[in-house]
Amino acid sequence: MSSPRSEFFAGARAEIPILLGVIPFGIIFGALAVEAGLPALIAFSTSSLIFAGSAQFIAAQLFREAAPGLIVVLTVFVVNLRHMLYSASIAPHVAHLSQRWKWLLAYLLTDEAYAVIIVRYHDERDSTHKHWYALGAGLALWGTWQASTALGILLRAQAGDRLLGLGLDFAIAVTFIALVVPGLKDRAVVAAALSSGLAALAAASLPYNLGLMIAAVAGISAGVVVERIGVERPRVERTRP
Amino acid sequence: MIFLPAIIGAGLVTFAIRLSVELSGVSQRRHFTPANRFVLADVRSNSVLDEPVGVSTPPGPNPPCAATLAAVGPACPHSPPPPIGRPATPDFQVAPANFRPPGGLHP
Repeated sequence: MSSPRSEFFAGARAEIPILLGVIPFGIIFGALAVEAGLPALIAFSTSSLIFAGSAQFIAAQLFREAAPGLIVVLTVFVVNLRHMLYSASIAPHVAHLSQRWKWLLAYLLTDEAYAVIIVRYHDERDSTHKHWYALGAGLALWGTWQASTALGILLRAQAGDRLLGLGLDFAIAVTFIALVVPGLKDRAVVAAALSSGLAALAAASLPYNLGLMIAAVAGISAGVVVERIGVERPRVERTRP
Repeated sequence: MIFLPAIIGAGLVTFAIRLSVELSGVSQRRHFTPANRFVLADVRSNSVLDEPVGVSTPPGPNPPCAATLAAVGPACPHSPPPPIGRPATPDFQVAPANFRPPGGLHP
C-alpha cells in the first residue's frame, strides 16, 4: 500500500522528463515578459498568479502591444478554456477530497501536470493517496516554472536580446509534442489528435485564438465518433446468425 | 503597476476555469450509488448480452425490484410467475382459445 509520501515523490519524479522542456519555456517567458515592458517583479509574479505558460506568453505579447486589460483577461480566458476539459476529466477522481484539496489541485492543474496525473488516476494499482501524486507532480512543475521564469528575467538583464535569438522557443512545441505522444494508445485518441492538429493548422489565422477552441471541438468530436464506431461494431457481429 | 489588475484578473479567470467542473457536482452524478449498481446488475442479468457483467445481484428479494413490484404489480422480472391462464401484467389480454391471427399461424 503506497503512502502519501511515496505518492508525492512518485508524482514529482514522473514530472521530471517534462520539466526538461519546461525550463527553456520558462526562461523564454521571463525574458519576453521583461522585453514586453513588465517590471521584473510583476513579470515574476505572473508565473504564480496565472501559472499557465501559453496564456502568459499571449498576455506578455498583448502587454507589449498596449492592449487594454480587459482584452488580456478575455484572451487568457479563451486560451485557458481547455483547462475545463482537464478539470472535467479529473473531477470524478477528486470528488471525495475536501474543498481545500480541490482548490489546491485546481490551481496546479496545467497541461504538463494533467498529462502525468491522469495516467496515475487511470492506473490499475489502487491507492487512496493518488491526490498526493497529483500534488507532487503539480508542485514540481510549479517550482520549476517559478525558478525558470526568474532565471529568464535575470538572463535577459545579463544577455539582452541574444537570449531570444537562441531558438529556445522551439522548446514550447517540443514540450507539447512530448505531452501528446504518450497518450496515443488507441484509434479514438489518434483520430482526436490528428483532427485537432489539422483543424488548428487550418484555423490558425482566426482572431482571438479561436482556432484553439475549434481544434479542441474537432478533436473531441472525432474521438467520440471513432470510439462509438469501435463500441458498436461488436454488437453488430453478435446479432448475426 | 498598470499590468497588475490585468494579471490578477487573468489569474482569477484561469483558476475559476480549472476549478469550475471540480466543484460543479458532475463527479457525484457520474458515480453509481449502491442502489444504482443493483439496478444495473438487474438490467444486465435480464438482457440478451452474453458477456459476464462482473456485478452480481445479491440473493433474495432485490430491494429496487421489490419496490417496483409494490408499485406496478408483477411486471418485475424477479416476481413469481403469474398463475396459469392469467395475464402476466394488467396491460395484456388473454386471447380466446379459438383465436387465429390474420394470415394464419406462423410455421
